[in-house]
Amino acid sequence: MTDNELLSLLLKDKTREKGFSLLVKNYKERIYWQVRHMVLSHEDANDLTQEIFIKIFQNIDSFNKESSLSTWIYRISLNHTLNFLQSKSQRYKSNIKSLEDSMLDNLKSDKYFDSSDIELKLQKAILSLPEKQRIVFNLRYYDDMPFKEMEEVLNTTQSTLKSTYHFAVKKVQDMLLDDEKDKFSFPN
Amino acid sequence: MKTRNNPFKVPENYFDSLEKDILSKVNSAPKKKYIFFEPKQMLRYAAVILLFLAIGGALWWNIPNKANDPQAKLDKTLMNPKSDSIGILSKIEEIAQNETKEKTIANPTEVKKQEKELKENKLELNENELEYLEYYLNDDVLTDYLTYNDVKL
Repeated sequence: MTDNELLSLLLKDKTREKGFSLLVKNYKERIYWQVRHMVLSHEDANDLTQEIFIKIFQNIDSFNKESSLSTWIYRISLNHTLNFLQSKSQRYKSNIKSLEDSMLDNLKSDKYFDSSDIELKLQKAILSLPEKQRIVFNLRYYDDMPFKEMEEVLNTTQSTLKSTYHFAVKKVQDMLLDDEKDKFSFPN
Repeated sequence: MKTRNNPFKVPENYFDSLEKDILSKVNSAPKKKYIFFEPKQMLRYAAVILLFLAIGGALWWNIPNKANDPQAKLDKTLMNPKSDSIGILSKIEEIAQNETKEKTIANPTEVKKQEKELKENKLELNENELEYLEYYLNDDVLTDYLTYNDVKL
């Protein structure tokens, strides 16, 4: 089912629930993984994904069709996740340990994470990136999002996104050893 | 071998249960009604409106209202006599005509009588009064005063 067909179901009272059920089916995994790669913890990602879908359902009438439905959904998802991370980092301001260090520590003991040394090292490198570079890196590396789509979601030009991604990959590679670097395939 | 593995895992059948959880939460949660202004928003808008009203009021009382300013009206009329909105020119003309009339109709006998009374009432000073004045006034001022009042010594 296309997004336009989905949208026509969502905008009618009679078919809204059916449309929403199909929307959840179509987007649940993409949204979950987008969130999970940002927050790392399964519990947080689970809570946030549910909140994001409720937000989408409650605000579907305000979708103005200026962007595609998928772009609008990704934007809501990203904003909700960033708000969560910002409010969490506020709580860590007075702590000796930063939010990133705490996320990494939790990851080590997370049963839903393949905690091999090399994967932990990659996550450490990604967490060291500035927020914008981290978002672009995750969307490209894990979600395979084309720069064209990223341009709409992040409201940034493709050339800026490409250079941001390039710098992010360079930084991540610099934090890995030569033999470790070769184990990861970073898309262009 | 180069890989792009996803090191993150999820519980078994997680996405099926996620879908159920979302749908049950959505069905239990009331759909957000479209409200023009939420209470917090309304307070914010009200504060902004009050602020503008206060500034507007302060300006209104401090800046003179040109439309009601008599001087501005007179200036406008004198600059453009055709638009005698306040009727000042016609009033001036009326007063001038009345004065002319009064002069024309004045009784010559009455005029002579008034002149005579004025002459009779002219100030006359005795020597003591003059000395007193001289003492307090210098010559120039006294001469001016006497001349002005047509005083006979």
